Amino acid sequence: MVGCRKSLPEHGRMKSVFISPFRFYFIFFAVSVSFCSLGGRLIYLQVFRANDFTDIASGTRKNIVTLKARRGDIVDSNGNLMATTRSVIDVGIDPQSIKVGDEDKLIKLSKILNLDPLEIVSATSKKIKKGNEYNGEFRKVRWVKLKDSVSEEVYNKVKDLDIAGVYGNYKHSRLYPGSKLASHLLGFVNKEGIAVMGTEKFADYYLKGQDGWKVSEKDGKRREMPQFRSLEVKPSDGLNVELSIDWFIQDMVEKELARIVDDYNPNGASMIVSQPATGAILAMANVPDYDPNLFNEYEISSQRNRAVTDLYEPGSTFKIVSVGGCLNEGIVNGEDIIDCSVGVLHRGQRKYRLPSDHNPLGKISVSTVVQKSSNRGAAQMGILLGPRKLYNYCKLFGFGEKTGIGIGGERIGILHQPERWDGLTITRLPMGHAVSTTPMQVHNAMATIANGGVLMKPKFINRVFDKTGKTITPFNIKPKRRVVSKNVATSLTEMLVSVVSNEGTARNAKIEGFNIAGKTGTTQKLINGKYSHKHHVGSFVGYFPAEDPEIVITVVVDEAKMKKGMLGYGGTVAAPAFKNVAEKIISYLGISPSDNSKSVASLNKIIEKTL
Amino acid sequence: MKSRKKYLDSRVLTLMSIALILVFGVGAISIVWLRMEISSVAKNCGRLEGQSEVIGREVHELRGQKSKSLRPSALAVMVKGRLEVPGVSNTYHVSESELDNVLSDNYYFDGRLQEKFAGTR
Repeated sequence: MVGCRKSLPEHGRMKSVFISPFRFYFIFFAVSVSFCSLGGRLIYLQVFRANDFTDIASGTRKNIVTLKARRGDIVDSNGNLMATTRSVIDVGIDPQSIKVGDEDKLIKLSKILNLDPLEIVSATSKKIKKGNEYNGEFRKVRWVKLKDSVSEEVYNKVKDLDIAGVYGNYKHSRLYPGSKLASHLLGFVNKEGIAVMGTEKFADYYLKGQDGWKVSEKDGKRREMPQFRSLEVKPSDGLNVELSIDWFIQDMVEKELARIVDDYNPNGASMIVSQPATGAILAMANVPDYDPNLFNEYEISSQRNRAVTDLYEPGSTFKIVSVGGCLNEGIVNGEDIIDCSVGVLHRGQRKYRLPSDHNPLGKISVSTVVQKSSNRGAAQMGILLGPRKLYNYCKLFGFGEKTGIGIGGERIGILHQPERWDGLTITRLPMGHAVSTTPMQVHNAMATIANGGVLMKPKFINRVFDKTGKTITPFNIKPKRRVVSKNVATSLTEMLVSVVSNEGTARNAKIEGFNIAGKTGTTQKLINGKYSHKHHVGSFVGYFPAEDPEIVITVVVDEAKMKKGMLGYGGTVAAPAFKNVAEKIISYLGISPSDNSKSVASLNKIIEKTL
Repeated sequence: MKSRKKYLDSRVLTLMSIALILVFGVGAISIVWLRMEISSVAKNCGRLEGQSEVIGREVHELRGQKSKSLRPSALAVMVKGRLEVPGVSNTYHVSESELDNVLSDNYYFDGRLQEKFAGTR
């Protein structure tokens, strides 16, 4: 080869390596520019845009997951679960991942989820959607919800089908095992996870807990890679709330209300049961009611806690205020005689038109005024007390202000200042007209008498506790003020016991062996600005045993539909309901009767009677 | 002498190189192995975490169901016609002294009573 090259002529060798200078520089320049531009681009990407791309890369891999805190439980005073949190699954489908040949499985899926197969077909066909008004580009649909809040059991069946693209997202859902039981007290949490009313709203601060989060990385299939978990803040689950209510007593009350609905079909009815000494609510129920598990299927009016939101004229149950005031001021005592035969009373320059009684009562004692529920007698008590003092006693008994129970929606009622009273108010207010109250206010006023004259703040929560059972926040009993002296409360109790007797207006509330103290109330409703003779609110408030009261019960029935010729008086519709519930509570709590000679039997006598 | 020293130097160098390669090689492989172990342990932990979550969910579900079946109306249906809260007229209260008598040795105890109330019905 060397010899061969040497044999070539000189000009021929020169020609083989010759490149024209232009071409040489052109190619050199082009190659240099290419490399420089590549280098420049690399510098741009790696130096100037380094942070941006690092963010994008880490953003793609980074996986920040919120760890939802579990909402605390609500239990009754005996620890029975009334509201709890469980996990449910929203099942959906990724239309992009559906494989050909899965049609049979989709039909099975529709059966499991109780859906129309066409709904699933329509979900799988939604593959593209247009963005919003700001970002109008078309995007792939990666998730279409098929069924909301599916149980774990159903979801396991869905998973067994092994359909590509069908999966679920876990979420917390509130469960109320008692269904309608104590629905107005419990309230509910809506679909957005917001506590709407009742205990759920009142104790939301304690119940909701604190969400946590974790930061890790995910793989190509969006699964978390735990080895790259860099930060984890555990969620702090919500605390639990123990109510003062007893769900057996609550059940007794709700069954009785159901009976009232069956018998009288009223517009509404409320019952409250509490302990006078502590103010603890043992049961509170209303009709119409609702199931908090299915709150969106009921009318809003059914969700109202009528015991604290609805106003009515209390009628004769309010007479304890004027009589209690007069006794406490020493103006009258139980044996003093009141002339109920006169329709007009002259005092100084003023002339008072007195309301009428159902039956003429003549001259009767103060005790009989209460026993027979005399409107004229009560009106004269109001006159004796005077407007300012009468108003003050109304306020002292808790009327015209919230009871402070804490359940949302409580109303203060209507109680006008004496300056705004017309000429009739001084004679109508003592008999429970010209004032609007909630059943809870009336209940609390009667509980004050039962509690020896001390007004208590009603409470429906005993404590807030953690998962180990340790009390975090106790809800202690709170006396608000003394309203009347203990002696006056005792005298008033004696008068109220005579109401629940054969001579009184509440003979239907009598329970053998027990001294029951109580007061009926019947008010005509205002229909088109006039008091109607057909539409009544009947009520009864009572407590027992009268000598050492343990339980106070209030029954309010709004517009009972009575048989022809009958009216929805408190003694007719509310007193029997009181009796039915009271008898059950006596048996359930084992309350000893007032008359020991009859009930404290020797064991031998019991054996004789039983065998 | 000179060539022997050179030979020894080269052997030392070779040995050191091999040692270095071994140290770094084994070290590198160990690090990879450790990372794999960490990954596997982390995956196991993740799996156990998942299982614990599932069990927790089941426990809460069961608590809810238990409470549902123990609510007063459900219990009442279960014992309807057989058991109910006794009425006031059927409730008897025994005084403390009577109870003391029952507990004392001298108290006469009727065998029929035992038969009737000791779970034979």
